[in-house]
Amino acid sequence: MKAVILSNLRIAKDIFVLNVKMEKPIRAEPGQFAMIKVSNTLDPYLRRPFSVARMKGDSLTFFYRIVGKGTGILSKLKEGEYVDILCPLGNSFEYKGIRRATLVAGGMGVAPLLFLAQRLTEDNVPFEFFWGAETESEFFTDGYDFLYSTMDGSRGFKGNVVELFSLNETSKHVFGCGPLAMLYELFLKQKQRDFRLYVSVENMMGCGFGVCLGCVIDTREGKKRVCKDGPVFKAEDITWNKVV
Amino acid sequence: MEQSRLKIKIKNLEFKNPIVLASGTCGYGEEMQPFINLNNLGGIVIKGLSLEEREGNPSPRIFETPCGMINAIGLQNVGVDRFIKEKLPFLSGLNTHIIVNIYGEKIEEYLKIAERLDEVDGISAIEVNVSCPNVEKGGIEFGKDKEVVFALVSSLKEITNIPIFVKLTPESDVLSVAREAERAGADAITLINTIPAMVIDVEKKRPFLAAKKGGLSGPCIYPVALRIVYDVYEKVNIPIIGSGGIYNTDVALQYMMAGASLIQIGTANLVNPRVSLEIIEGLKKYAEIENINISDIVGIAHTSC
Repeated sequence: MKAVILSNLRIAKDIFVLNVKMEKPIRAEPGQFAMIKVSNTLDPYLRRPFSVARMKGDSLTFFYRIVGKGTGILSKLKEGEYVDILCPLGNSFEYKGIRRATLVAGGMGVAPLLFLAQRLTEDNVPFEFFWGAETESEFFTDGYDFLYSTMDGSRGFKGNVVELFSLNETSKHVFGCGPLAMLYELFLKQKQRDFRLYVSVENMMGCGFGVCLGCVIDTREGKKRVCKDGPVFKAEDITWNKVV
Repeated sequence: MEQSRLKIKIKNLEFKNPIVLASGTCGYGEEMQPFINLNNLGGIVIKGLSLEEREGNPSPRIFETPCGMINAIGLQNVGVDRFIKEKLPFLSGLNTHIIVNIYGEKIEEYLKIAERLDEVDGISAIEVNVSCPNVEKGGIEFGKDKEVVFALVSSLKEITNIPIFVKLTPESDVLSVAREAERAGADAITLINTIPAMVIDVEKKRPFLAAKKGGLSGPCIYPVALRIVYDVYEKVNIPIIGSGGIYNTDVALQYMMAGASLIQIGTANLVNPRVSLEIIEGLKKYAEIENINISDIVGIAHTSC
């Protein structure tokens, strides 16, 4: 579907916020993502996946870091230009009916959790929101009372975000997104404390809607498609020894 | 009425238009439902099916290359029994041709799958995969050997009346293999499967894909595949199904003019799941403007020079 760019701004080193208005209204849930075609050219050819970070009416917000050719081209696009977007794709966080939540983000993994935080706020569900990065300059948004951690100690707790998480009292419903190694550590904490853990997994994707089988992850029920069966998985369903 | 300009016949099968989704790029059909009405297609080719369920290769399985991609999925599929039980009921309710791509490590496995498919309704044709670059046994190794292809296709023809299409690899003496497939009774030939290829992760100093090598697809391969279609068209009398990097109406027309009766849309589906319908519209317009039936242009590039 065609979407017009409302804004596409640099907000930190190599990190951008993209706001688009979809041609027709869509309904996305936290955890779902979009596949964006950043140009009409044949190179790059494939779409790129981006988590929905906020939804307001028919406008969507994405945060992205320039990591290669596709995101480099995307970062040059201006207000008023068009991109082609497939959205919503994938499954979503199961958060309906919970009374308190804990969100744990590593780096850019904050994006889908921002959307979850938006919905929890709308539903008046209290939550704590942990956000870890290498260094302070990687934090690019506010609006929530983040509990920060940095590896170099430049903001908040010095150390990784899972350590910070384990030092705090948290809820029975934990939602994580970030590098696989971080999600695995979070999963190990689940064995010590009793909580339900949903993780949103990132992977290279071909199609984004379940046909190419390029993005599979090992689970207890065999290889599952991150794009279609995920990106949200129950942490205990992932066979971590094959993944990390 | 206009739609009838796009009709193509292969054996006793009438296709409402020449556009077919390629194996491995449309799942089991149901995944495409949110994006397109499958009934508008000429047909769909189901992901390579083996006798037993297959888990496929470890990750990473795909890598994007200039104007294309390399994949080494390794034929992950549900196996023929689960396919018949779980996937076929949806597919056979569609008003389009269901072509099932099959794969085995031994000739007997191909035959067993074909026997199972022969017992059920709703399958228009079998596409025999002797060209997958991403499995250790069978696949491409079969497809390079014209005697094996002959034996395989003639055995399949003995056990089933379902039309047999044979999908070939460019990594072979494709002209000879195509002729042997024809001599063995193949009803059509699909040209081509992905081109064996690889990429190396310079930082890690090792192949990027877990399977080391994969198959190249996408717009970058279309002139190579087109040339093969053109050459094989002059050597065989059975219909050719063109496949390889077709991403718009112009390239689809080139394939038909080179000699393809049907057109498979593969990697382009992953980028734009609606592209097949857009190409059908494009072909329809072309046929109207030229005031022809689309079948009139099959192989026309051979006669006009």
